[in-house]
Amino acid sequence: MSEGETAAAKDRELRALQAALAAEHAAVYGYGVVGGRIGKERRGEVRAAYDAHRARRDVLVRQVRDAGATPVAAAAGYALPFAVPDAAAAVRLAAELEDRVAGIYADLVRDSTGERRRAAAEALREAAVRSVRWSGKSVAFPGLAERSGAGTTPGAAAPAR
Amino acid sequence: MAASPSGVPGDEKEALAQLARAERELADRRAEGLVEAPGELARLLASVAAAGAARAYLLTKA
Repeated sequence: MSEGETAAAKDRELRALQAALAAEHAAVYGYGVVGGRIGKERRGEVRAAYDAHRARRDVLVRQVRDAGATPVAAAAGYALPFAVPDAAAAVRLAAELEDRVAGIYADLVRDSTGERRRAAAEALREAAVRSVRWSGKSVAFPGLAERSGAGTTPGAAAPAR
Repeated sequence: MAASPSGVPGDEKEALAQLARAERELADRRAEGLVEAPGELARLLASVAAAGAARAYLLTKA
């Protein structure tokens, strides 16, 4: 690989890491909303998912720093993809958050190498499993919007403007 | 409970558990394989592995 190609690959990887970090910030925020609306019997699952996303977020912060960049910060608030008035909507939001994160990690797998790629694949797998826990429905290609009939919602939990 | 000639346990719960284990092992192998794969193929392998893990979960949940 030429020096220019190596630099371009590093730049792509850094952008994918920052996108994953932004998605994890949004997921952490989103699970805060989920936790406030969901029934008591599923609060343990929300807590576990919330903790998992915080842990992934912290790993990504370190990886971005190691790449010599400043990690993107969380937004003060995020626009939710739909209103979340009750427990049923909270479960739908949780599944949506996981699907969104899965898509970002699939891109990070493509744009990274070695240990970071391995970690991204593991994160995609965890998100896919949590998504079916919430929705009860599996999809053939988690994280691949171009292969999904319905398509994931790219605007899910976008930063509020 | 005797296994059938196909190697699938006669007991339904055990058969599902075995199927889920096989799905997870396949997902693990794909996760290994993707590390050295070209970008888009790695992305596809990661997705297929994730789908397998999700299916394994659905096979074993209650």
